[in-house]
Amino acid sequence: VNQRSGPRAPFEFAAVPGAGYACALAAVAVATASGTLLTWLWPSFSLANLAMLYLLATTMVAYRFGLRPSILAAALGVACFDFIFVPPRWTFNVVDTQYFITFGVMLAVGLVVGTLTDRLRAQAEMSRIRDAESHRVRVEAEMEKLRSALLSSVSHDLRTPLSVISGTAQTLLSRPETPPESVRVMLQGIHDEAARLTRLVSNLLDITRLESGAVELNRQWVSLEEVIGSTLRHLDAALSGRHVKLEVPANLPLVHADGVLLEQLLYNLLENVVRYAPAGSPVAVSATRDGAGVLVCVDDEGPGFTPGEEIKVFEKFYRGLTARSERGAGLGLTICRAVVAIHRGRIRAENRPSGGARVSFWIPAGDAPPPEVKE
Amino acid sequence: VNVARPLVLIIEDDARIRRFLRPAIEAENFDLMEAETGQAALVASSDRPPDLIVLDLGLPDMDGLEVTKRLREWTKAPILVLSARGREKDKVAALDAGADDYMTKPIGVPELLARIRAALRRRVSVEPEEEPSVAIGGLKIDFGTRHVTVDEREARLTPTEFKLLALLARHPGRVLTHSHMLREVWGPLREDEAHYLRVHMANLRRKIEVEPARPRYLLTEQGVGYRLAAE
Repeated sequence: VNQRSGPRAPFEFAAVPGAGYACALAAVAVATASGTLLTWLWPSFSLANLAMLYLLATTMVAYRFGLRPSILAAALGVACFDFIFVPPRWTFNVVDTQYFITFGVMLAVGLVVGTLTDRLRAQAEMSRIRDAESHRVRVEAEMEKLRSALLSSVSHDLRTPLSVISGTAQTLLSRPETPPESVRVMLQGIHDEAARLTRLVSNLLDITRLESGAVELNRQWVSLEEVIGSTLRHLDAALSGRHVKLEVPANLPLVHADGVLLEQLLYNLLENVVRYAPAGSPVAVSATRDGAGVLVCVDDEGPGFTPGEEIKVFEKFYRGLTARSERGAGLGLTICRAVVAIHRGRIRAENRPSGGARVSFWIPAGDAPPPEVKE
Repeated sequence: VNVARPLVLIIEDDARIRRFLRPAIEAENFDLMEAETGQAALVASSDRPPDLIVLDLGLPDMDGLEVTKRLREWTKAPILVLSARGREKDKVAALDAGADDYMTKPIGVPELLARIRAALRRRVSVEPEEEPSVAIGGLKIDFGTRHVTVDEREARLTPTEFKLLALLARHPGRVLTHSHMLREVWGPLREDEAHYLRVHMANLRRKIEVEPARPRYLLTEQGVGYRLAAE
């Protein structure tokens, strides 16, 4: 989750406790030092301008650190100004009462600016909290929307076959005189819906197992030529009428992987070809050595992916818009991605320049290559 | 063996599954015996020896593997095991313990019947061990002369390749596990030599198959072993 922080508080130093008071002391010390220096260099330097130095110090402290440090700076400034510069010097006695106005103004400026700063800071903090809150609410709303969309998609996919099965069975039970031809059609319907349900449930179980990390990899040295061969055999009926072009070089390295999971991965990819590419259109499967692993590509001559779909197709319950036949549950490629991930491989979907879709995956050969085989 | 009406023993604890298997098996003209537990199956089969056993590996009372071993102590009847998806290790263990074939649940009735018929055919046919040669489609293997032809064309195999092919051809249609084949052809091997089988099978496919990545004869049972197509 992208943790987005709100606008930062404008005055970062305030975070250190006591920093404001320390800076107030320092600011007054700097004002006193510069005042002393100026009166020494320039003996006619006016007291009103000296007061300005303390006023500046107080204002800066107030702007930076808010009310309390600014009161300290103002009081300290007044005391130093009075003690050091106001005649009679080196006493707190004040001869001219108009200096009380100077003291009053310095204190008032410190209070006003400090209060404003405090208020500003409180507002910034409030808006930061509000922003974070509204962001959290937005994310939660999106998650909730997604969850309910997933739930309604799954429950629809589960309920529809179930209602067909139970409805048809009820009809058959209540009407013993149904003509045999209709009985056959109805039984075929029950069979087809049960098959769909079986596939959906096993896909749901598989993705749950894969994503929860409950899958124990049965790693062996696996030949991708054998994976391709056994997958094609299991899809023999579904692929009938399609030319399957195979490119599997003899020197393909073995991969240290779970062969059953790789077969499931390839099965899902080819099942998508059957589902999305026109009946009778050809399909090509190739395997090549690529770096420290093997790259397998499944190319079809179907409609390909719509723009932006290349990433989304791997998301749970996402279904292509261009399905030719009955749409699946939107879990096939999610399972593929999970299988590739636990093998530390890669998978990608793209459109081929010449048209049609390509889904390719790369599986690392494994850490230690097997020793040479001798006759 | 009763060739006319072979006796099939089904060991399955779920009554709902037995309920739909029963009429399907009886319609094939087989005699049927049912057992709900491993213990009951062992008792029933010693009373009346079955010609074929269908065994669900997920029994409540006994490990399916244990049932397979106990049955194999005295009967040669083919054992067909049923197991859940993703449990290849269970299948391999059952096959290594003497089971003849396996099916993954949920089982399709037509496929189960086909497997039962194939297993019974293998049982009543002459033991392939005694045959001097085997022909499957265009593949001909002469065990005596070690001569192998594919569609009348001679395939020149190395001694290891011939041993692998002969081993599979002695049991056409049967799954042989990786470990079984490794043991039979190489004897005891080190763990890091287990890939020998994959490499030699790949070479063999190149000499026997028209399209090695889509084999017609040398079939891969992923995660389990190899099988030579029966016909």
